[in-house]
Amino acid sequence: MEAVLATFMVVAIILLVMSFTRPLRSPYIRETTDLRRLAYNLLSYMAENNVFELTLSRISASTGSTPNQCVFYDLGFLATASLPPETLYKLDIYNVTYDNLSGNLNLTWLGCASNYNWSNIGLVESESVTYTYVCTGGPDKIRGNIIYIRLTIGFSG
Amino acid sequence: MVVAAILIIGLFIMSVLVTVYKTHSLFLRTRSPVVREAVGAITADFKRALATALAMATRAYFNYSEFIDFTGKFISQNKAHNFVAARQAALNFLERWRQAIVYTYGEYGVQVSYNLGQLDLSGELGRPRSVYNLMKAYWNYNGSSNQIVSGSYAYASLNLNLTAMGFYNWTSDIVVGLTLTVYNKSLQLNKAKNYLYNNNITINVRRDGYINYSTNPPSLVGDPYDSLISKGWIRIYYNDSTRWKLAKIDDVTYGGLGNYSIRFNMSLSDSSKVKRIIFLVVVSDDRGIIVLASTYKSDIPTCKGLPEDLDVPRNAYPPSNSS
Repeated sequence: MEAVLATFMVVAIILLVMSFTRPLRSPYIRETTDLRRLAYNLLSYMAENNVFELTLSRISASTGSTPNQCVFYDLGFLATASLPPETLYKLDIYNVTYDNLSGNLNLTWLGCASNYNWSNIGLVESESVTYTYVCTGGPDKIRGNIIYIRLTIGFSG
Repeated sequence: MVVAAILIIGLFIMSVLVTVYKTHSLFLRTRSPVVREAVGAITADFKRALATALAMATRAYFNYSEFIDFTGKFISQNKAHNFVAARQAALNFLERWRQAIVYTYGEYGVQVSYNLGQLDLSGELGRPRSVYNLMKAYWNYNGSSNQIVSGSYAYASLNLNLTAMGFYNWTSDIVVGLTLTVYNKSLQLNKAKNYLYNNNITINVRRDGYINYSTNPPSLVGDPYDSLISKGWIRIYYNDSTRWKLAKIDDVTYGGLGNYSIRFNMSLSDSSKVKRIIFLVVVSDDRGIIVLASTYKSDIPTCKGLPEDLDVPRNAYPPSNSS
């Protein structure tokens, strides 16, 4: 009889503890999802407003493909204004070309936008999403290009 | 014996608890991946790819050399004005887009393909026509005397699986298109002065829209396009005695529901040689899709061909594969 009582007490205690504690990993899963959803929503918002065409059309010999520098300042300003405070991001844009001989896709880095010194500061927690965008807006030099976008969003220590 | 039974019951209860916990965890894992966002992003990009393909085909058909920065990426100049070649170039482009999608969304285990279906356009064009084999352009019509309807359309169904997320059999019918209605109006030509000014012509522009599945095949119902002034452009060509000329547009007014009133001027080199004025109204939306509506009639041969500034093929006009 005592053994039965002890067993039920143990089970009751376990149930009580579980009800007052969060399941393992669920905060991490939720955080990951929130960051990814935030990233996709931001990219979709930019896509709907032809932001990428405007950015690419402004690439000049002096600003485009500057190594280790994010010079898409207008794009960065829009992203900063659209994201919650204290959120850090880095948005890289690549041009997608197709090699007819090998059948491979080639990515050419065009530039980036960021709101932190990504070469020195590491993100404590971050998520990265990738996105494709077919440029439909003008000018004709840009129209029809397929671009590949990698957006990393996270928090600093 | 009793102790063993109690232990077994205890283990059973504990296993039930573990199962409940795992179920909760599974719910979080299956709910949490950004399926909706990923599917939305790929579907939206497929629509942009279709729009690009149609823009390429219509721009190459209308005037390849004027838009060569765009058309030259897809098709060579000797294939201009060739809708069949443009369709093949569009399919090649969609295949490159598909590979880019597989590369980009590889972590989700994406499987993507598309089907070419048929979509009825009779509601849009007012005559029995449909879009199939990816895209069609209906730019000429000698029917009703009070309005001329033309259109450019592309239609395909996107099929999508995200295997890593357990998401299968997503299908989305995507249509892009631009419909132009020109309300014909006979103009009074002042033959003594050889020019016409303050002419007004009314057009209606619709694009994309929704698919009505209650018909077989499904039919398109276009949405009014209200951004023609801010994001698109309009041109009006007219026949002078021996060539087409570009009319000078003075004002464009948007009247709602896709209706635009255009005021323009034009001058004729010799009005005595012109029996009647024929217009070519050309419209482009912000995605580069072009549609042309002409008041083309049987007396157009009196105008000897089309000029260099309007790069429409003389011998192939109206085009046999897009009429």
